[in-house]
Amino acid sequence: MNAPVPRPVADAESFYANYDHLDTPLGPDGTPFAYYEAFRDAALAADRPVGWSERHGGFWVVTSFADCERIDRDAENFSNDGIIFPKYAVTEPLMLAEQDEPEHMRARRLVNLSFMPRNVTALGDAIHTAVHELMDGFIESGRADVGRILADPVPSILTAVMLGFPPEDGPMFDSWTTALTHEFITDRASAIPKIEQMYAYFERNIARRQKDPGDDILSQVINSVVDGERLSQKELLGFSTVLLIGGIENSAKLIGTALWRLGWDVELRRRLVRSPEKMNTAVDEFLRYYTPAPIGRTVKREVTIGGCTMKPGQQVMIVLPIANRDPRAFPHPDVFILDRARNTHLALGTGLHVCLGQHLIRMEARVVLNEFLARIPEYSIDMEAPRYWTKGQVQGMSRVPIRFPPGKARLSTRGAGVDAWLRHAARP
Amino acid sequence: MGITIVFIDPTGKEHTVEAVAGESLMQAATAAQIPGIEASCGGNCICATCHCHIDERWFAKLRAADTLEQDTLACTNEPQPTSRLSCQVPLTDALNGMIVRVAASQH
Ligand code: HEM
Ligand code: FES
Repeated sequence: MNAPVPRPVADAESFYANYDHLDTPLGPDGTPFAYYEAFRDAALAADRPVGWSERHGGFWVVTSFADCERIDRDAENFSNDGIIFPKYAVTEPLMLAEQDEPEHMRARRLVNLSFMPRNVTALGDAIHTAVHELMDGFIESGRADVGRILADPVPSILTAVMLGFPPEDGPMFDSWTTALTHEFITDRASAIPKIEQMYAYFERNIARRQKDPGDDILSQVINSVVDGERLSQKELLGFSTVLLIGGIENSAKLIGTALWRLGWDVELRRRLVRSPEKMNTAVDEFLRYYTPAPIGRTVKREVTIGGCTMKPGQQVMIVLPIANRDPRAFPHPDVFILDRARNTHLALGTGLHVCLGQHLIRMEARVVLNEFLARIPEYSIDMEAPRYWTKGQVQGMSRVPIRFPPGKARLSTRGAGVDAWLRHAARP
Repeated sequence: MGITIVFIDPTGKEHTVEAVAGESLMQAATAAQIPGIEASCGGNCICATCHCHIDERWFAKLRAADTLEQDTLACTNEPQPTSRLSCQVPLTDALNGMIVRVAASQH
């Protein structure tokens, strides 16, 4: 008998040198996770938790859970200035996300309470309504791209509601977010007018809310006072922008990827249909398994991590999609475990900059997926229509074509927000 | 001297933990991997995922919550009169034997 031949271990060095978070290789399932797994295995075999990528002018790449967690929590040695790399099209530092102490905590305190569980629960009805109206729009046809017509719209509609804007403005939020995060890099000339339109829209609406406050989160934040301090006009504009950048794409991609997985993982889907209460832990497992975003830092003070000395001013990417598959932190990391215990993934960050929307996205994803499965418990991925994985600083399945036995619409009238979305989703 | 803390996790299971004076109740819980304590902000009083209910016999011995903690607690799900954010509770020898119930849900 032949002795087992060890599988060739791809060189960790070359994985690090070629790592480009904006262009990760896609595997046969259309996602980059086979690549992330191979990268992780090579890094583990070579005992190299940190390496240097030659892309984008050169930057450090960190893949182990322990080192990612440590850097994420270390505001002494690392600045949040490098969170997004290369930077998005915003002229001011992105509020909260790109700020360091003490400015960051001052601003965070002024908005934080509005995103605590009790205030977030109050948005549950808005999500519920949006999901059912959107589903009414396609349930009778037996087919839909639920990436475009469910996962994309819900976070935009919700952001509009949080800011006290009409839900039919949701599609504009979606195109502004795309302009800021993708188009600015690929087609600057067409992105800039959209970004200008966005700032003008926010300025008008902030002024309106200052005169005539409502019960939305923007009004709460305008009136929030901590230690006698309030947010300035510029900060209010920054707050609106960071909600778009931080809240919409990530959430849409997470929900789109989950709908795609549930489209082919019949066993997982049927277990969730039978036991919707398991959706709580399922959402955290989706966050771990299909982590939407790696995040960046810039080095503030010289520091040695994983045997590598990082110098002030250098860029670091902490690759959360790989860290969240570290076998030293998660037993059976490549298995989707519906009720994984102590799922301490880093998909929403940790430490001072931990995701402001963490309670919101957990509730939002749970409501969307449970309400969807309650009405469409059986469906499959439509292999004749295009599926699409969006690469970039935020990644996920953005086109999820499905087929299912047609159902009945529930409401006789459709909200204006939904009509606006149906038109928006029909774009090429 | 070590301090003993008894955590009761959301499923009702008891965990007896040895802690040291000076660390926070949250640090004692996360070091022992107590289920239900996420503590995702690492003790900065912004995430409210370290919410616990302190047994009445010990609650009165704690330094009272400051306004920031009180405001944050008020925005959690189902706050109770003996609720605390465990990252804001420093451990002292006087708290030996304290019984702590982890909140049913942190979200
Ligand atoms: C699947 C959905 C989401 C993911 C994966 C995600 C991920 C993250 C991560 C990893 C961070 C930490 C960045 C760092 O350490 O520097 C963060 C911060 C942030 N997130 Fe989220 N997020 C999501 C949803 C949301 C939502 C719905 C909102 C809207 C309220 C939001 C708003 C923010 C803001 C404002 C920050 C900056 C917080 C700070 O620096 O203090 N996110 N998010
Ligand atoms: S650990 Fe975040 S509030 Fe206590």
